[in-house]
Amino acid sequence: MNRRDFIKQISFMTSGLVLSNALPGFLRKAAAVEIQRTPFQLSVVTDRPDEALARLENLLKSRVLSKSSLKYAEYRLAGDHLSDMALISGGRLINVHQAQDELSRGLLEIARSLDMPRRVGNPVLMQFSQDLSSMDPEKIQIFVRNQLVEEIDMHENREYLRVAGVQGFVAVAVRQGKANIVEASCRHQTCMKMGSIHHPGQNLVCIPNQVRVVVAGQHAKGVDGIVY
Amino acid sequence: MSIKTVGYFFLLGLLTGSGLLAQDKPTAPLFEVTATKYLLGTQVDIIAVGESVQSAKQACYFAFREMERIERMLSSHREDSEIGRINQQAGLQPVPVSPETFAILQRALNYSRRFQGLFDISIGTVLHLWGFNEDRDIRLPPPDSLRQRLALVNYRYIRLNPRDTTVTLLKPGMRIDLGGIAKGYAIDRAAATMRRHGIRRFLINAGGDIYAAGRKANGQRWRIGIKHPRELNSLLATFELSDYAVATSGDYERYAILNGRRYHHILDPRTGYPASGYRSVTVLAQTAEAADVWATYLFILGRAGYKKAHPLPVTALFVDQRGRVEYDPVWREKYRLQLVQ
Repeated sequence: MNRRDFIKQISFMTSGLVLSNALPGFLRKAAAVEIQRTPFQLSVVTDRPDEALARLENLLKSRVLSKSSLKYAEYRLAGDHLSDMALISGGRLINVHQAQDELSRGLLEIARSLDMPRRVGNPVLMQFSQDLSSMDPEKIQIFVRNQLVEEIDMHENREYLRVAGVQGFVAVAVRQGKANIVEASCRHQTCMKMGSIHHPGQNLVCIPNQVRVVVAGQHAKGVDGIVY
Repeated sequence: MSIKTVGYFFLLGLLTGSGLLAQDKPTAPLFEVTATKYLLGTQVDIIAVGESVQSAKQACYFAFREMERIERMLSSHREDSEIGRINQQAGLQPVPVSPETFAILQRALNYSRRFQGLFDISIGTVLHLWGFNEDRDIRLPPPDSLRQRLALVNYRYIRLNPRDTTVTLLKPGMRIDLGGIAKGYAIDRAAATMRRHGIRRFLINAGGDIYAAGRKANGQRWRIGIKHPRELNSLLATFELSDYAVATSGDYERYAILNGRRYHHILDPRTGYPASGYRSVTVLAQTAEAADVWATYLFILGRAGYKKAHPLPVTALFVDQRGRVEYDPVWREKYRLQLVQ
């Protein structure tokens, strides 16, 4: 999606604009999906996660958390990305450049101190959200050692996506909204016996390769953990 | 009813209504932080609830480090672990170990005695023969080899000397494997670490063995799903947990289909072959270690033996080979078990 398409899509859903003029691909897609479902979500891509976290936490405590609790998750993104932020609040994508509320002003200040936007290598994605169930529910994400290496639209068909793992490789197929592991270099190939996944929160794991294939979002049954 | 009694109930109502008596009700802004790491040969997830993301992350970091320490100490795959050194000296000489390893071995042997050998850490030599837990193909062992190895499976051949905390495996070729207890122990240690770092509301999930502490950020108990033993991406049931542990032994996680038959990794120490009566047994216990051990034991023992042995310090849910689910009423009454249709 080029910038024009992105703005068009965002404009269709909200009267606001995005924090910066060019959101990185990751945030752009997240924003497009999340905007109408999530009461509050802040996604931040940065190469200075410790500094960002300290400042964001203080800001959110004073401006958001007084009303409720927030879920937090972070993981590393493989490759080059644009360091930036995307804020969704009250079901709207907020343009913190124009918004006059204290949260937007605080975020803008943090973004400036972190030199956003700029291109960075292997940054960390930090996500604060009130409801993980709505986070990226249309995506298959592939992690190697907790680093996001691939992200595929669930409705996109990929017959054979080979991912390098810790010991060898894992090959993933995505067809008609379902993902499964079709080949793996590991000895017992337990991951291949796990079948296909399509509901949010489901995952396939190849332990020897430390590869995890996840349907993004919280488990449909609202479970916090699965015993097996 | 006296005025005093009415007053008491009025006060109680006020307190309950205002949430003052609700355990773990959020009184301060809270973050629910998730963290994942590959440890103990599996994926470990921690969800930590705290007033600060940084302190919750720090607690997770130290919990993971504690689990790494236990893995270095107890893994039978590592030659430099205490268990690795004990196995190398089987039939040769006593091996001095740390008090911590000694204590877990003592507990393992106590379980063996209590369960009349149906839980036995000396099963390691037979597991190794099959290829379970190894980086090679699982194969049906030749009957002669299996018979020879089975003769080495006996917890009574493990000598513990409390005077100098040494461990001796009496027969050459013996091999102990703490796979049925170490993961649970590691979770319990990680839970203690979380608490030591000020986090009292968390969930630790190490490859399907779970300890849930306190409540979620929204004040509700943790919601746990039981994996369906045949439809591996579906749930069999859900239930709620707080300050308790759960573990499952099943025939569907590590297995191979050989000559058209399913052979899985939970071996009956009496035969050296996989226990065959059940698809899965899920156990609730006070500690993850107890849940881990009891799940293995009850998987082999079966529901009839379980019912006969009551009362027990654990409660179990059985799925038999025909897919029938049996459980005690406490699962529904106390833990709000709901079977998934």
